[in-house]
Amino acid sequence: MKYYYKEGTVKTGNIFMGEDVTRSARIESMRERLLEAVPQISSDRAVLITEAYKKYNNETVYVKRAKALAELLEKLPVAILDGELIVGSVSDKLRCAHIFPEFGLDWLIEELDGNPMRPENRPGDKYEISLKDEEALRSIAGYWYNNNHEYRCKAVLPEETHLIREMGVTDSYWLMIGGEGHLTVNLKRVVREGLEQYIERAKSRITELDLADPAQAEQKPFLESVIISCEAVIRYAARYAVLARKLAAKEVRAVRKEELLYIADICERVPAKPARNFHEALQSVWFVNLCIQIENNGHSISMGRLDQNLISYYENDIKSGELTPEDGLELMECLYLKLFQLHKITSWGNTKSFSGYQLFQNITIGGQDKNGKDVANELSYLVLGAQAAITLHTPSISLRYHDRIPEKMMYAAMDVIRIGGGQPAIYSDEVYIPALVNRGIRWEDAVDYSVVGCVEAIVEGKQSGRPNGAGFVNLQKIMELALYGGRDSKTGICLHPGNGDLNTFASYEELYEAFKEQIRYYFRYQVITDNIIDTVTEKGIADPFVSCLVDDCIGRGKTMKEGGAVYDYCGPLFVGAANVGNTLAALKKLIFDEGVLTGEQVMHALKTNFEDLVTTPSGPEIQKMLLDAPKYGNDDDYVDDIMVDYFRFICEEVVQYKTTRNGRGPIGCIWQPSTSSVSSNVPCGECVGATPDGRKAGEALADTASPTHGTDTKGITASLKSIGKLPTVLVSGGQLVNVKVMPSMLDGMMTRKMVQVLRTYLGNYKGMHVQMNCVSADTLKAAQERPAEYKDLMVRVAGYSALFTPLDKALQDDIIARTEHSS
Amino acid sequence: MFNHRFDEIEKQTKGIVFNIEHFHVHDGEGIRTNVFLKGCSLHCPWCCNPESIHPVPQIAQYQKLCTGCGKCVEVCPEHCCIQKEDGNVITDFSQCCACGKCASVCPAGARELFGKRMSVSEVIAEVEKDSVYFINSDGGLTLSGGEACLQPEFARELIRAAHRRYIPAALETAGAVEWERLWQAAKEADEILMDLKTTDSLQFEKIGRFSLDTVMENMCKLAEAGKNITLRCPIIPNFNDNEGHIQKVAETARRVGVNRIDFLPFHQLGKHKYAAIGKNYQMTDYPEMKDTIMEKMAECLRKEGFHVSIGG
Repeated sequence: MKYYYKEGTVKTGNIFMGEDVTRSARIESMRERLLEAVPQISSDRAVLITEAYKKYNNETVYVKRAKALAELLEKLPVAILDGELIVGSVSDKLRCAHIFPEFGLDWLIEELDGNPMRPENRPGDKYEISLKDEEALRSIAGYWYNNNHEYRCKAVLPEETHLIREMGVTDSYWLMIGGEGHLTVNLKRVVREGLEQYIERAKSRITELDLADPAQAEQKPFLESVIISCEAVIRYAARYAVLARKLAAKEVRAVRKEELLYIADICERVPAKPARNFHEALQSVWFVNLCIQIENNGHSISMGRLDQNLISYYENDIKSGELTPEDGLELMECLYLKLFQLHKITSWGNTKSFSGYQLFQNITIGGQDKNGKDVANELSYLVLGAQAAITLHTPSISLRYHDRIPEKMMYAAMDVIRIGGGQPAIYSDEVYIPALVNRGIRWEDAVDYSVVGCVEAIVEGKQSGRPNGAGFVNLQKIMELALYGGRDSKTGICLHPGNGDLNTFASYEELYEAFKEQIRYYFRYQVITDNIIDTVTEKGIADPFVSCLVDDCIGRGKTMKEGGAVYDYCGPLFVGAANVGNTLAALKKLIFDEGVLTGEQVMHALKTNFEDLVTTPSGPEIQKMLLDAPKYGNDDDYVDDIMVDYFRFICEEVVQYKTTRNGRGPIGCIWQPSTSSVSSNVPCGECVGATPDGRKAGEALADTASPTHGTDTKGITASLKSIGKLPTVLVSGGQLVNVKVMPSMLDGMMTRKMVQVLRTYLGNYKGMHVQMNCVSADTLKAAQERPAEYKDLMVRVAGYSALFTPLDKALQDDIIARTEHSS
Repeated sequence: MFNHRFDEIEKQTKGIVFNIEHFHVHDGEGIRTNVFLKGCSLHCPWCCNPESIHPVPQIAQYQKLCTGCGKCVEVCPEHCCIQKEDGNVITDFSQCCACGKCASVCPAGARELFGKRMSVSEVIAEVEKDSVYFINSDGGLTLSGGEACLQPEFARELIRAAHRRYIPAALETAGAVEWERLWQAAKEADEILMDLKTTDSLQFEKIGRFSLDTVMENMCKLAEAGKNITLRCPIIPNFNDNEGHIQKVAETARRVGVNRIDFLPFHQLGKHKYAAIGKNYQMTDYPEMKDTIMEKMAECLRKEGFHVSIGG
């Protein structure tokens, strides 16, 4: 059936694989419509779930949640926007955030009261709310007061947890307001089997249960809830079929009418039944993801290896002539725009750590199969091509690199990176696969990993949520505590007194040991906290729909939180990794190796934020000495060796702990490290005073595993080589590295050089991940004004590359002028 | 769309290839995969690939390996495999249509088909297998012959196909071909390996129908076009293994602005193939070039500032 209209295309000005990137009139108008829309808060879900919770209050938690989902899917407004080929929206609002009051509503009421500010007045991630929605939310606030997940968690958390958060050492609070997320369900299986098969399996499991056995009897309500929720999702799709037919009846344009009728056919078919073609497969994937998003408040619900999972449908359609590649591309772009529509709002405090309306919906492409063969296919290029055309921040595209990846794929990725925005991020199989195998994942599953959230590798459809995705651990705060003998200089809280402080450490070893001791203490509390939250989630927020889509929850009759998944991992997100290495190195060199400063002198300088001009040397002079000490990211073994050693220590410290699912079925059930700091390096920095890496109080910490901003001054090769020295294979929760490059670094012949740099880093130096930010002329102008902040900004001058800020002003102006031609 | 715009042209464009060899290390930068195109405008008596000269596929028979089983006689449609009374099979090359049936049934491996009509996509699939070696060594595809420029469109499309896969491409040519054809093949090549068989016009006339002037003119035009050229000089005993020739090579190199010169010493490794394709080999009695002599020649030009290697 040929039905897609292709009237007029718009050139985007970008080039992908040697061709002008265009958008069809359909995509252009849909994209514009979304970009103009302001994200809004809707009260619809909140009101409906309040009613449902009241109505089903006496049911088991499984059935209550399932029936609540059923009510939501029956009553939430449905909308099909003009031009849409993939349908299904959480609301009739274009960009809409629903509210999940069962996780807690107080924060939103406070914000609506202006504390700290109303959602529409935020400095970023603004949301509008209508008076009607606001009134509706206020009217249900009473029901949820002291009757929500956050409250139940806080009630059982130890006092230390709250103090630790107050100090800013670790922060797991966002876990209490988010449900299951950080996973990819078994989309491949849903598309292939259809939800009716899942219902059948749940039914047959129920008949097999020996209800006289308490352990088996316990499984019944979950399995019943699976049936209820899957049936609800099927009915939800049917609502779209009805709507499509209604719209078709009114439609005057013959082509659109035909499209709407076809959409109706598709919605009657999937996700209930197996998809028969590419369009049905995409629609099935979308419905399933959409309903997970409505069921619970988690983020990072990802799409998995879309190119692998859907290639057979695509190829069959192309072969039969049912689909042209252009149609396939447009369908993919339609899916991207659906992903872009999704929003979830969290408190302003939490939003600071996850800025940018980001829901971390990942699409993974490329990689290898279990025999090590490269699997890049038509759809891999289609996914990139769609990104080149859509160029929005969602979805996140993740390319799996391995040493045998075709150059064509690398260059296609470079074409998209050149457009800007750091897409796709590149992940190295050469590190991820051994890292996963090392944690007990079978080879054939490890090679099938896909990326969720930022950099978390997950065995899609077989692994429970949050492979890391636990709380943030502010490493530099812990370092600061060690320097101050365990006492927080800001709040005065002292949970774990150390043996001495910076004034008294007689050797580097004493300092290092003091840091390790604080790490041991706070890691342990992180585990205690997160495991308690998981336990409360298990009892109070069983989400049957998302669970049943993960193997082997139906087989075991358990939710993921009860141990239903084949694999299970969890772990902390390290923040400020580079700051700790730089701190240790600076103190070792200046105090213990060279003796040019004493501990007391540094301590005083830290306490006075390097501003005391009376001392000799003065505060600013001490800061300069500290800044001049070796810094991670310059291929300097003095600091890199320190960095590697402490990093290995924290990685090994983490993995001794177990998750709440340990011994209950899944493989793994251990804590594992990650350096995915998202945007928390900024708020984490706010609560750390001046530190011996030369950082002033309150300044942002280093992001991820990247060097501290502006301290890696020897160029990208040195920077990546330093990062490559880390024992990254231990960071099975995912290593993140940000690299900033000028667009001209990816121009013409330079592309080849950058591909060589990446191959060397990801292959030879076993780097796990890299994302490249291509920066613009605006940034260069800012760099001229504030050079200190852009010390590591690199430019292509003529036949050579140079750091930007030391260049002559005239040359800088010339480069800025040149860049503007291309941007 | 983006990934398949060139599928059709790569499938449609075909040429005659007589060999694809991996891991060549003397024919351009890094590790190379050489694709040998069949057909040559010269017929140098020392040629070590005599099967490269005839422009269409041809059968070779290695008499030594023949067991006289007669299988080829049964399948030959042109009756040019002839079994003699003593059991030996001989081939009447004049009647052979090069269908290759005899080679496919020969249990002793005594028959081989040289030359195969291949599409650009078939050739490039084989070349692309080495892409990681290319990446790690800055290597790539080298088009060789025969004379690759006698199939200029095929050569150009092979180079384009390589470039689409980010594989560098070198072209080896003797330059004894019309400029238009040479340029069609050479225009997009990253590197030109330019043969200079002799610097003596009379000598040159004996090995091909083009004049040495044409070769020189072509070479100059390639240099003017900014092509990266390496001179490749076979050193043949009693032909050009003399001081005068070496000096003329240096003069030529200077004139066209080439710094890299490869000396390719005469050897006897192609000898067995002559009889196999029914040709006379005239160089049986010639000695292979001695290393010491080659080294002396190379040293002579190195002193003048050239980058010289022996054997490429």
